[in-house]
Amino acid sequence: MDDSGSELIAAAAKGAPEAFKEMVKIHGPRLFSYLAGRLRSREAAEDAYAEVWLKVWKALPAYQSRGRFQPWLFTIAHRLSLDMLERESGRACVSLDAEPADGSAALPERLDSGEPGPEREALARQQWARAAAVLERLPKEQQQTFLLREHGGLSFAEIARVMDCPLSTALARMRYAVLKMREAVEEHHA
Amino acid sequence: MHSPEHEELCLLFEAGELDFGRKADFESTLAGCGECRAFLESLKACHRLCEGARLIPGPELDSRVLAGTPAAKAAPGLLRTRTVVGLSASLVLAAVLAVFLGGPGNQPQDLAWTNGLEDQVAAAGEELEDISKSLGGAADSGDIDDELDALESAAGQMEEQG
Repeated sequence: MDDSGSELIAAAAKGAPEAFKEMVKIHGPRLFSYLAGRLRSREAAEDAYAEVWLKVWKALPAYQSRGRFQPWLFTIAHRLSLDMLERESGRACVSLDAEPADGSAALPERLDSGEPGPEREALARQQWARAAAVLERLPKEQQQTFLLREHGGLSFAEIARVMDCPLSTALARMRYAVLKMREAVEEHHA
Repeated sequence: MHSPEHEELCLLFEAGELDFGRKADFESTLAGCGECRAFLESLKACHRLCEGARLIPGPELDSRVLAGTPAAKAAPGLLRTRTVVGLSASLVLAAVLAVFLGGPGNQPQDLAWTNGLEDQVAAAGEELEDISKSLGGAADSGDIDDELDALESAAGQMEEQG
């Protein structure tokens, strides 16, 4: 995704609520998918999502639009998720794909399933569960790299900056993540 | 011969992050490297998996986000509502003053003075409305509240002076 919305960002930075609302609409699904993948808990992902946007709103007037908006947004999300995981470590979390105790529909509560319809929705749920299960088996750094690339849409140079590592490290982490994903998909089909 | 570097080049190639020269070189490598093509296919499968599994925040969550930011508090509609409520409060105050000052024990000139106060309150209210409009959504609604407080306090002082 490019940053063609620089006028939108400028308007939101000046305090225009409609522009900010539009930004939330545009970047929300990628951000929420990233946070859900990182935090693996519905409640935590929702809290983080709200907190990231609040931080964005507060920091927007100082935002320098020299680079792309997305890496800036995901740097905030990345740091916040690290803090939250640190805070939450040791505490029990409700898994994103756990069956709710009340028997209501299992998470993920909403999927960007493209064409509406129960079959497409069911397929999307299956895919989410598969992706989540494989992701959980990846080492943290590979998982973060994979999520920043796949959901954040960040370039490898941007991922290296966000994760404060050399470009070669970001590439190596992504390579391992893809190979493990492939293994998992092959296992699934075997 | 296939190597991890080839796979990293696959990543950069697929992400469109190779410059023109390196891209052309890699395309010729790719043509003769089955493992590179297989890796590229795995990468595309990952994209499809993630695309198909993308989560979207529900409208309730987005509402919670917007309600939690000052953007919502500074929304023009809300600003106008507050201004109108504040203005109405000022006019009610003025009306109370009019009744109080215009009661049986007061002279006609007191009542005339009160009518003047009412006009001043109304004029100030209109001025605030204009300020509110010109500020639009960017203003902090707290400023308008402060202005209204100041207006009501001024009315109180005028009453004391009267």
